[in-house]
Amino acid sequence: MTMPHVLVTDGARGALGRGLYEGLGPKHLAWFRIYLLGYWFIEIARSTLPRLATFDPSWYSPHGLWLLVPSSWRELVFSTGALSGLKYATATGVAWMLLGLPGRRWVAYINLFFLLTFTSFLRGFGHSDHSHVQIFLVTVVLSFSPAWDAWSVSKGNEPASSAGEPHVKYGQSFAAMALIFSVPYFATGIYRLAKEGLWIFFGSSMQYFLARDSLVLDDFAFSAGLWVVEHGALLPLINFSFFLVTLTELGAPWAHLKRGYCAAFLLVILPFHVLSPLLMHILFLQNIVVTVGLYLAPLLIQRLGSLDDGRS
Amino acid sequence: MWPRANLTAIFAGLCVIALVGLPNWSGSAESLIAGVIEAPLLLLGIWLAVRATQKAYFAGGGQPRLFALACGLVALFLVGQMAKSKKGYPFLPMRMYGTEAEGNAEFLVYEAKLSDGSSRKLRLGAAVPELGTARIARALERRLKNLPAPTNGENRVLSPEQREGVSIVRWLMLQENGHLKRSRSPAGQSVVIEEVLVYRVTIRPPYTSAHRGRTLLTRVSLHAS
Repeated sequence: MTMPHVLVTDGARGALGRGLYEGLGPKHLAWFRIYLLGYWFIEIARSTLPRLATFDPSWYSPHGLWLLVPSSWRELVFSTGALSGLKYATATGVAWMLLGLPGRRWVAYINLFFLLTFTSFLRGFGHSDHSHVQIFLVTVVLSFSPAWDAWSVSKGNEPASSAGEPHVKYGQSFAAMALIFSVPYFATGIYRLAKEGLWIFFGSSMQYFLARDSLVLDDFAFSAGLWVVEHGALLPLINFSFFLVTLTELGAPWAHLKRGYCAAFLLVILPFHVLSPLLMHILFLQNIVVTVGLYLAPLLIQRLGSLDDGRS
Repeated sequence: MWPRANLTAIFAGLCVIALVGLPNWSGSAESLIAGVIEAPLLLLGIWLAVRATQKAYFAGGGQPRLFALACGLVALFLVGQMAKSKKGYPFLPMRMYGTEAEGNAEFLVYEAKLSDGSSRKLRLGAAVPELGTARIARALERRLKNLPAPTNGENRVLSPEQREGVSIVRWLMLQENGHLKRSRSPAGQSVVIEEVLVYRVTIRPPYTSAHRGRTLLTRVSLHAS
């Protein structure tokens, strides 16, 4: 009996089997810090939060931290000055952390408090969506990682300061962030599986979601979703894609273990996040940002060997 | 402690039970999901993933406190998922597109009548972009969904909640008009929204345009009557 033709070389197969964050160093983690906090800074700086001061406070329903604030105090926040203060305090905290200015270990707590206050406040209008959930949890872990060991005004521990295996901690930091980032995906997949089983992928649920979201949500003006609904022959393809996305959500907590798993995860999750605004007018911007930083970039770094961290 | 292989087998078995849709067969899906399927699936799956991460990255020491922090956040997230409270941000239940949608799709749309006689969709998400359309649409839907269709051309906004919904639509109109006035045409004319018509749209399966119909619920003018 002859062996089937091997398409993947042993070297390539070995590379895909290695840990995603194996060998990453201080500059890689510092890059991720600047990238993630840079995103937060841009989002907060561009925010029109103070405009919410013209909202009637009675329309507001507190979420998260704001549940702990007495309602009379909450009403005080509904002023342009107070909301501008919240915006600039949050932006300053993020910039402080991004640059790694002195005292950043204490500023980390203050910064996380402001980020939580800022993002919880937005949830008081309408419904509590998930846009900042994963990026916030990743930022919590990042804040206590050694991401300030490089490219920081005030350095943390030097890369080789501790004896033994000083570089392991950078890969570990990535792994800890990936773990918390992936759990909400997993929970979404499990809920769908437990609630409906396979049957949700055989019915017309996706047509329903495509039509409703395309007509209700106006953050984008694409009509591809409605076009798909009009062409019923595409339904099996759409349902299969929905199934594939659910499988990927279920596999998400294992995606950071090996480069091969990560590549498979990216092959589904990136097209899903890119296509959802086109088809359903929903943009998972924060998730795209984190996915690129936590999965795509490390995979490319491993492949291209860029950002040499000085180890020889 | 049980070997990982046993836990994996139990996890796979529960997955199969869920895949065939057993919770749906009982007719009382919610209690079965919570009690029998969802919780153990979540706990087992996360436990296996945490152990695999620990083995792959943290077995030789290094950053045990950071790993403990991540595990603590995972645990809090699981509590949030099981508690199903929508107010516990950032530990919110994740249930997106998790319930089979069948029957008619019903939602509200908002048509803006402009001072030049034209009309277009009222952009819900334009006033405060970070709130996003979804959040405002749901806030309005909750308040206005039970609004009865007007009889004899009269609006019948009944409850305080519905009046609140109308006030929010008016606030959105004012925001949009402010934007329109700032971006007036080169000729110096500014077109503003004079009225918003709130429609209930119903789409019957298979949800194509041919199966779409709408009913006028109320008209919201710039000034409260």
